[in-house]
Amino acid sequence: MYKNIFLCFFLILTRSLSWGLDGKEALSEEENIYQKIANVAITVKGKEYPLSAFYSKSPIIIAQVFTRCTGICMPFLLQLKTNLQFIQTGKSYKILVLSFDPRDSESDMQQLAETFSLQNDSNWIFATTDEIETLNNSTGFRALWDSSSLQYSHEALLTGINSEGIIKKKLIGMKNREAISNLISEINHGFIPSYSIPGQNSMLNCFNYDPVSGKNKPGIGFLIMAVPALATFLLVLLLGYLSKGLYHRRT
Amino acid sequence: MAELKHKRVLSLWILTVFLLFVASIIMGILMRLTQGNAMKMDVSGFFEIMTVHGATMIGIWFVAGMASVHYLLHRYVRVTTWINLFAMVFTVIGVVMLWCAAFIGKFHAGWTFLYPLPLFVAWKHWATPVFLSALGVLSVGWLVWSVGMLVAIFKKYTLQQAFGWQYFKKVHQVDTPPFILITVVTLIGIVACLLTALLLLGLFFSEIASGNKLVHDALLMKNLTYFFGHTVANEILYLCLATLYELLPEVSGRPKWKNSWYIALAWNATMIFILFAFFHHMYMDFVQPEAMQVIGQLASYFASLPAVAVTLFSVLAFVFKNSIRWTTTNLLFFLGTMGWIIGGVGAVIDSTISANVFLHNSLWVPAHFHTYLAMGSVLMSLAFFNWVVFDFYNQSEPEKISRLQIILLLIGGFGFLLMFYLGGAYSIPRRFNVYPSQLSIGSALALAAAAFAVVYLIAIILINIRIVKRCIKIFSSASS
Ligand code: HEM
Repeated sequence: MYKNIFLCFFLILTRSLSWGLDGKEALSEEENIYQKIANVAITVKGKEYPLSAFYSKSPIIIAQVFTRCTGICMPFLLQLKTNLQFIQTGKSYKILVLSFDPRDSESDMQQLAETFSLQNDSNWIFATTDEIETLNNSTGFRALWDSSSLQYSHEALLTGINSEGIIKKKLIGMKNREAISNLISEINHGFIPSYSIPGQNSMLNCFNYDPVSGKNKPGIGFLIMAVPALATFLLVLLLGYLSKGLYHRRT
Repeated sequence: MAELKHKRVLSLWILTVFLLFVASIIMGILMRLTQGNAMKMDVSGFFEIMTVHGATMIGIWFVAGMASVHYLLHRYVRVTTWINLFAMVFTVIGVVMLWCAAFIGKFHAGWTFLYPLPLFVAWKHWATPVFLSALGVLSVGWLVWSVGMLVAIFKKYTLQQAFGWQYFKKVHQVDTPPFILITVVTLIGIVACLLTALLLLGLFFSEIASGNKLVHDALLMKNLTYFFGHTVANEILYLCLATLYELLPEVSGRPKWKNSWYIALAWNATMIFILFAFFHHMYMDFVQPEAMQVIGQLASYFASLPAVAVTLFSVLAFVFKNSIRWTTTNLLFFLGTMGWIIGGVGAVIDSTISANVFLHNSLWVPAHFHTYLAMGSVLMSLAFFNWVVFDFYNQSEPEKISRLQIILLLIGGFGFLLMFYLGGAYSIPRRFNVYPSQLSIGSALALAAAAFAVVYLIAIILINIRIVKRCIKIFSSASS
């Protein structure tokens, strides 16, 4: 009995502590989701195309990078390339590596493709655009110029666009194979099982996902499910107790 | 003999149920005609009708079962009329609110109002709170009714006696009629699911009041919804079975059925297992641990098997071992039991995980629940109505059965159901207002179903003419 009360209290406490922690990333990954991507003009190998020319043929994943990056861009692309080599989804998609730095030229992007030996891979497209601002607003990408390091401070963002030009999913940071595989599936109209993680505005989850163990642990909601049945049980006990008195008085 | 005021209240219940039943069948026929492309209805109109049809049908056959049990309880314990009246007032208010929310407010999220659908307002803004409040009003009215009846029973029987636990001992002094035992286990299930409904509605309202800033866990909401919805639909049947145990031998001119350890064990087990059976609605919810899915499958088997086994055994042994005085009442009880068993087999198949993968949300689902409701509990309740209108006048029912009515009922009812089953077998999805060209077989089946449903409606009206006439008479004679 005391153990259960303690467990309830502990669950409430841990839930309330966790509210503040996990809301932020989930929100930014959800920013602009299900919106239509801006149909900006992009330049690939010297030729200009509307973005729709690509996504209307097959879903695309946009990776926004800049070639002078001394930070995350190179490991990010390398990891993406490596992961994709191991992901056999059988689904169609293309990777559009798009520079968000106005200084990047067409040849900078081709050099980047060569650095990763992707210049002849038809699944990879390296491009620039003159409408960086519009595209950033559309994908919710933010890059801040730091004049002391001459670098952009930015997120590693993958934006999944389906063949109707809708932003179906965004991944922020270096994600594992499973996450990327889900991204590919989702832009191909696949079903991706998802379960909300506790946020600031929800508190009664049946299960809480523990990223360390990768397991779902029962939460307050799980206990709440039992409340009506327990209340009925107590009510019946009470009625039974009262009736016992009556019965003895009668007999 | 029941007092006049009890008869008056019961006759009012019967008249209300009949009126709403006819209206709801017509709605069902309109839906089938729309699905069969024989008429056009706008999308929102179709789903408004589906919402009202589902909620009204469940509601009326629930109150029919409760009113029947309430009436028969007078034979054993003292139950007050005011809880019956209280429930009636709350039911009328609830139904009016519900119909207004759907037909004026255009609310059409289905009678299961699965979260978060009611909060994605595609209708008048007031309609969601009014629909949810309607369910709240109904739940409160029915909760008071159920607890009132339990209190009345526990005033006479101790806890052990009410559950029939004395039959597990070698000697026992007090007998518990099967009717009391089944009523108690059923009312307990009803109290649990109505409390769940109130909790669920509270969670909905907390989200609405927070301006949707508070977001509830969809999994918790779905669990609560099906705990309520699935359990209440099943308890309707158990209410009918309580009346069957009480009346079938009596109207057949045979001695009353006695309780025994296996009947007590079966119904105690049913009371527990039915509370877990709803997990079979959660098979597609991958977050729910596998163990809960397995519990769902096993509980679905164990909730139905003991009650089915003892009832079917008792009914079949009774019918085939005795020479029976057949009347409309016992024939309807018998046919209702068969409908319940056939629908139950459909339910057990659907609750088997490996089959559910294919049948989930296909027309198989309405097929099985319409079988045990439209050809199960409805027939058992009609049996009770048919018996009680003679009991009102202390008469016994004549030994005459209208073959035409029964044949129309069987052809109409099972023909209508067969179209649902065939739809399920062809993987036609449920809750589609029109079927796309790839599923044109669904439209053909719907059209045939509409024709059968008209036959069912005619049979229902014919069977009810005498019942309605006698109810009006007892109601007006008492008030004049
Ligand atoms: C001949 C009479 C009836 C007809 C023509 C009829 C017709 C229908 C139709 C067409 C649907 C929608 C099926 C779908 O596509 O998903 C439906 C749903 C339903 N019916 Fe009936 N029905 C009849 C009798 C009954 C009875 C007697 C009950 C209960 C006692 C009942 C309870 C329900 C419920 C609960 C739903 C589910 C609504 C939802 O999915 O939200 N029906 N019915």
